[in-house]
Amino acid sequence: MMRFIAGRVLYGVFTLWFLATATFFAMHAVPGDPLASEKAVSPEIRRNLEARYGLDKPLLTQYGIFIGNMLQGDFGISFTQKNRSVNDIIREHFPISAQLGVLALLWATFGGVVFGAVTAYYRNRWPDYVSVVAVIICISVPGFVFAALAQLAIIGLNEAVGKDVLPVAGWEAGSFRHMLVPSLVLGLGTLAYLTRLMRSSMLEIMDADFVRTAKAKGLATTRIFWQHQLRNAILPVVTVLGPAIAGITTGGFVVEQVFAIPGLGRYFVQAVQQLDYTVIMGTTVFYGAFLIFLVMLVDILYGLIDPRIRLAPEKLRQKGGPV
Amino acid sequence: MSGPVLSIKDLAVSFRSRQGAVNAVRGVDLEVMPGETLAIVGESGCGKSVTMRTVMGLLPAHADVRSGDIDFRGEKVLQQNTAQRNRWRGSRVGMIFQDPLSAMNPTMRIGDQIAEPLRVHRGLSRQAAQAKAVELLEKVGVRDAATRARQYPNAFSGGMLQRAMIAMALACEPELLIADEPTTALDVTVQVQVLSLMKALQQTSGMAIVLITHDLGIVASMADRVAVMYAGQVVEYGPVDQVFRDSLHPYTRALRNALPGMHTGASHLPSIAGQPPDLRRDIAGCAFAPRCQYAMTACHQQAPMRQVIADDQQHGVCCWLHDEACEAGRVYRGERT
Ligand SMILES: Nc1ncnc2c1ncn2[C@@H]1O[C@H](COP(=O)(O)OP(=O)(O)OP(=O)(O)O)[C@@H](O)[C@H]1O
Ligand code: SF4
Ligand SMILES: [Mg+2]
Repeated sequence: MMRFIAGRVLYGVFTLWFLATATFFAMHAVPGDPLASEKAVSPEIRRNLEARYGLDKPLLTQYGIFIGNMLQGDFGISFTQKNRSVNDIIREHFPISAQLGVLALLWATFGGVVFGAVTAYYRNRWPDYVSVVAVIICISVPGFVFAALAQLAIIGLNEAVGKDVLPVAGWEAGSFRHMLVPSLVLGLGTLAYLTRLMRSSMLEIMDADFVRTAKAKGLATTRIFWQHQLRNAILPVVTVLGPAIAGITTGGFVVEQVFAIPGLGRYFVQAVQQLDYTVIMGTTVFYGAFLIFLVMLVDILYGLIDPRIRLAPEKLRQKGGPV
Repeated sequence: MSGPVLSIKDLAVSFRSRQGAVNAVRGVDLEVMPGETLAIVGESGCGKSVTMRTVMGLLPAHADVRSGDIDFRGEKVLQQNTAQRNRWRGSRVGMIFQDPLSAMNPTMRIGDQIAEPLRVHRGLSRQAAQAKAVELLEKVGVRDAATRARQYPNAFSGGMLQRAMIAMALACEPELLIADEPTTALDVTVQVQVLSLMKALQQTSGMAIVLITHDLGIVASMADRVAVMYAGQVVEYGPVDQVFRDSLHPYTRALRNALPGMHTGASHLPSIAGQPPDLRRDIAGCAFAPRCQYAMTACHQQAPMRQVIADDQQHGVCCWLHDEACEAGRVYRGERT
């Protein structure tokens, strides 16, 4: 297990370095000038600014400085918000994105597992057909459409009731009302995907030999479901949690924009629009590290649920061994 | 206790399919007496598994029980719902399957799987059930049972896993064990070990065993009585030595003749010429007629009735040759060896 984790960490570090390097050079290859927003700066001031951000140095030197600072956990100062460091921006806005994302992920996994299991039980009957249509819609319609529709629905609801049941947009720290609809919209696509995945995996498990054994043991249907089917059927869902988290993270960029939520995603989009080098680099590397860490966690979680993964070497050793 | 543990009468089961109904079981009668081992043999697809799965209520949703009556110690099995069945399934009747690796839950510890029936049927506490599970593992010959109980199925070899399956099926000391080809997936040496374990456990517990197998050698060494199935029916049944020595049905005889060293070694069911009938079609006469070298006109028109031949009422057959009025039958019976 320790070797497995060490291997994953090493791999993660390499991925991060690659990500940082690729982003750095891609960003500098994009035409445009991060200082263009400075209105009518005199050449003198401009030179000062350039010196301050190291833009006057050759690209490779800039790259070296950037990597060096990054290794010390310092992402520099924002180009557009002069008095804020990128670290501050991340520290302040990431928790908002994280709250939204975690909630969306909870909706998606719980919803996916429950709906998937239910539709499997109702295979080829109306609840199953309804879910097929719903899933196709949720997967193929882009998130911003749902975001806009959800806002319209909230407006309609508020008018019908005559008071503000739910906020149309905006954010208040710790307010569940503000999180509810954006997180649902954010989790919807993943929920639909996981429902489908859980359904097919559940169908497979329902016909599995060990479920037949469980019936032959005289276990109640509910016990068979909880003790034997669920844990096995959930494995494929766990394997895609990594990509699901990545999907929710990027989906958050849009949802934060539409619902005017001051999360890190919104700052990232802004930074890209304004070519705010340091913020782009900082958030990209941060998001990268975050996702790599989570995917690693998911792998470990998978190993905990499925003993076949955990004990893989032992299995090989015992295969064909004496009885 | 007198009277059969399990009696199956005129059982018919079919599967719905796109090409129409598959009549997998077409009128099976069987009785299992207390403490005996009844072997069921027959070609692949003749309905052995479906018959015993019907007893256990393990048929898939697209199966229909067309007719019949199953009685396990007064439990009218076919009239029962799942909850009623669960009062005896896994406690008074145990079942083991062909491939132990797929028949065990891969994500549950062996000990927990063995302890489960004890907790559910006997109401034992977690600790008590675990302790009993370790004890059971020891009893079926798994060494270092306490450690093994904490392992998952993938850490077990096939033979060890089948032993664990047996421990699981016998946890609540059932009166009847149904074993559907319990050793087919195992190495020959392991087969012998597992079978002698079953035999030994039967001797101490007095349970009855229904043993489905392809292996006539196993039948000869394990079983008291044997039922020979063909195309969803029992065509001959009786004490093992009688059925093998005085085979009454042409199918049984063909099997026996194709297998000279039957009593000596492990021996898989020999294949005989021809194909079994298509179970989707109605079979007018005797199902074996197209492959039977003795087939007569009557055989193609009307299905033979079961007849009990031996004086002690033990040996029965389903074949026109054994009808009193059959001329050809006299010759056939005369050439019986
Ligand atoms: N789940 C199923 N769906 C449809 N048909 C089935 C199903 N299970 C069995 N059958 C049909 O029922 C017939 C009897 O099958 P069964 O499994 O009882 O045979 P068997 O005697 O156990 O054969 P084997 O020795 O190969 O295990 C077969 O012809 C098969 O086509
Ligand atoms: S009834 Fe006729 S066809 Fe069937 S086994 Fe007997 S002789 Fe052969
Ligand atoms: Mg079978």
